[in-house]
Amino acid sequence: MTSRLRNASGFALVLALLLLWEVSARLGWVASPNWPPFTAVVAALARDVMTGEIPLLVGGTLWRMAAGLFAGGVAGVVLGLAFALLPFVARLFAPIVELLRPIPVPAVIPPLVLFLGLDDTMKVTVVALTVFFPVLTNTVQGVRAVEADALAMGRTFGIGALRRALFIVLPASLPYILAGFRIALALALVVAVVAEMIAGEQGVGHYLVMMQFAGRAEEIYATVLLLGMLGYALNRGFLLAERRMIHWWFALGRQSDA
Amino acid sequence: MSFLSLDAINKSFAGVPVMRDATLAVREGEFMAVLGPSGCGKSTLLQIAAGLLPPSAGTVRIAGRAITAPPPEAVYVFQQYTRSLLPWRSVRDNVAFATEHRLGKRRARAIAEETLAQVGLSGFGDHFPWQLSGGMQQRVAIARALAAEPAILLLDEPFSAVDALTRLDLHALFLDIWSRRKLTVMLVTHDVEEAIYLADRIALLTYRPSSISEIFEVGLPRPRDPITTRALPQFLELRQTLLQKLLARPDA
Amino acid sequence: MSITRRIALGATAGLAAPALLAQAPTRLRVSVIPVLDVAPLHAAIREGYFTAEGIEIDTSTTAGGATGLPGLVAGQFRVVFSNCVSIMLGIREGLEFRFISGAAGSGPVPPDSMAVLARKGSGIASGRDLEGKRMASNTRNNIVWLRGIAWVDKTGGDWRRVTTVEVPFPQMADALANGQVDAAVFSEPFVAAALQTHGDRLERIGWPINETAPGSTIAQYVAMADDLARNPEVFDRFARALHRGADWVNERRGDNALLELIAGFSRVPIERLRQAAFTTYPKGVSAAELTEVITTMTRFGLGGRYPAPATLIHRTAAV
Repeated sequence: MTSRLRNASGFALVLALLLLWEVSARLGWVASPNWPPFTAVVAALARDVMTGEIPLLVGGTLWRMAAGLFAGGVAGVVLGLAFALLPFVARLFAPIVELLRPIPVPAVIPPLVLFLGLDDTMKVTVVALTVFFPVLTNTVQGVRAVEADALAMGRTFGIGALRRALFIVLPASLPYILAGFRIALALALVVAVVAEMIAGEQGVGHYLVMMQFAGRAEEIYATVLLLGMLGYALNRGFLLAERRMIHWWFALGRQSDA
Repeated sequence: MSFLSLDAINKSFAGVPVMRDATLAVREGEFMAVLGPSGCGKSTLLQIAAGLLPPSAGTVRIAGRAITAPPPEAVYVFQQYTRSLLPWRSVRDNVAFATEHRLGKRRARAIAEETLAQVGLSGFGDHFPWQLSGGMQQRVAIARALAAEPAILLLDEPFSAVDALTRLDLHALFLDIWSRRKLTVMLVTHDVEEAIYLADRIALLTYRPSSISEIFEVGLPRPRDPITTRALPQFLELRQTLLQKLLARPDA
Repeated sequence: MSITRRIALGATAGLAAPALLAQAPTRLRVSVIPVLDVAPLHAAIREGYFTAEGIEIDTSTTAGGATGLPGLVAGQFRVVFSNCVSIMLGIREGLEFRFISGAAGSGPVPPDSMAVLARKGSGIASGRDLEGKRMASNTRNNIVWLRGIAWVDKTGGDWRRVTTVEVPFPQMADALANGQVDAAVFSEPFVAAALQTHGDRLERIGWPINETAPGSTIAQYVAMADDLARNPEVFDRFARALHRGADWVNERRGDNALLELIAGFSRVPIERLRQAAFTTYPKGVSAAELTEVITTMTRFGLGGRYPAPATLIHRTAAV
């Protein structure tokens, strides 16, 4: 009841800000052609959605994002498990990972362009790199948080190492892994668009650059609005999936609160 | 003939000896309690017996065979059921976890239902462990151990994390299972009454570096009763002796 | 935009010579900037001139010259459209760029395709007024910057005392109107856009090209020397098609057809294009115009050892 009220008030704030946007542009409080009214932006968005251009571009961008998310995520989980379970892997790779982690991904785009070109390979790789580190870190953290008793339990029943990794370690660290993915998801969309803005005529990022050069503020804001909505929808969808996948984790959290 | 034997077990952690020449022989079908104060290395001894922890020196034998890894005959039951039960699995699938790698999921589930019934948890298979009380969760852990059909059960204070009444309840349940299944049991505990009430013999563990100092024959008649057995003079006498031994430690 | 291009290719494939269609077309990746200057390339794509030469053009739009020339060196592109100053700086560093076609130049009289704008009432009207002040250019060390600096010098200012600030074209009008910079060198269609949308606050104070170097060059198409040596006929075909595109564009200067073409690939509203001043669309590159650029660059701090301009011009640009 109170949470519904809180949600409603948050929604009201969004509406108020949109209204402020509309009014400030209509009445010329912000007098710039680069500040079009909200309704004009929505109209521009609707126009390019109707022609099928935006859906096609969004589809491309989401595909690249998803491919990068998958590739970087799988690599992060696998290497994270290896890091936490096999000490020699950690010794071998930890310095490289620690060196590469703080590098902002946009900074590595030029060398990636050199080696991977301007097409999907480069863009998916950029997303994968972005996703990789938070997933890796969280996986390692998750594996370290697995109860020693749960692992010993597996051994006392004669369960082999691989099966223990898959059926005890992996599910137990899933809440941490998913938290890593949630961080990665927000970054992945941003980075996919940034990579598209660099070069190549693909996706929402390229559309954004085009519209900037064409001086079409309405389309620019329409893109920004669209990215905001996409990001919101992706996050909500992810939270729902997370609730289903690790319901036990949330149940345990509530229990300890009570 | 001893079924489970610990022969001159030594254990050091980071060069610090915590166990010296611990020797113990448990007979087949016997209920052996290892009694000692908290922090004396009871769990360490039990984990070594289970093949979960390698000894620094000495040998563990089960049915005459020296073991270096968890043997199929023995199952370890943990003190903290919340840590050893898997919260993402239903009660039934937690129990099935003990055998599904050997028997397959369907057969393991069927066995799980049987053993859950034996511990009085029929109808709780679809629940999740965290939806049950502490005593019921420990029953799940016991059911899981039984599902593997072990000859030996190694119990690490499994009754200490529940309230006093639930503990009596679990004692009764466990004694019943033990006698029906003819299990060999090694229980570690710091609870003198629990040790007397349940065990055939009680081994006393000294402080660090710990070893088995004495072994007491309980000699109380079975079946035991939670009220009358505890009132027997023999029970009270042994309780007094053991408490004196435990309290008379040099550093206590 | 890639949709329109694909449709254009499909629609014109029927016009192509059957003999050339029989073999797989040569795929050329060309780096472009979404500006008016590349109209001939898009005309040649849309009119099927490339298809007729057995060439499939894959344009890659970059937001500035930044990734174009490095991409050429790295082999990502076969042809790059770029401004003359950036190309020359690469050549000065030893990169083997060769001019394969002219792209954009300025006419002998105003209006320029570039303009210096300032705020109305700011009292800034010349390079002299800009001393100690800030002037925006989209990138440092490119043709826009060079002509802007030359204009400061020509109108009595010490170019060393004018701070250049990099501001992308799309943000330039706002930056100038809001006072973040005191003047800005715009290129079309951003001149037209700025005057259309900020006309009440901004005014044009100079023609940076016609006041310093009328009839000079702005941008060209370049390729790598070794690629030209290995595949000369590919570039012959490329230039032939491109130059037919230039003819198409030059025949339609001021026509609706041209404005529609440009509006199509750049998305600039057609009403704005009507207000914009266009560059010329030369097919060739001359040693004289390159010499002028090198001389001007040398004057304004970009001197160095440059090869003789005539050696940089591939046969396809010697027209």
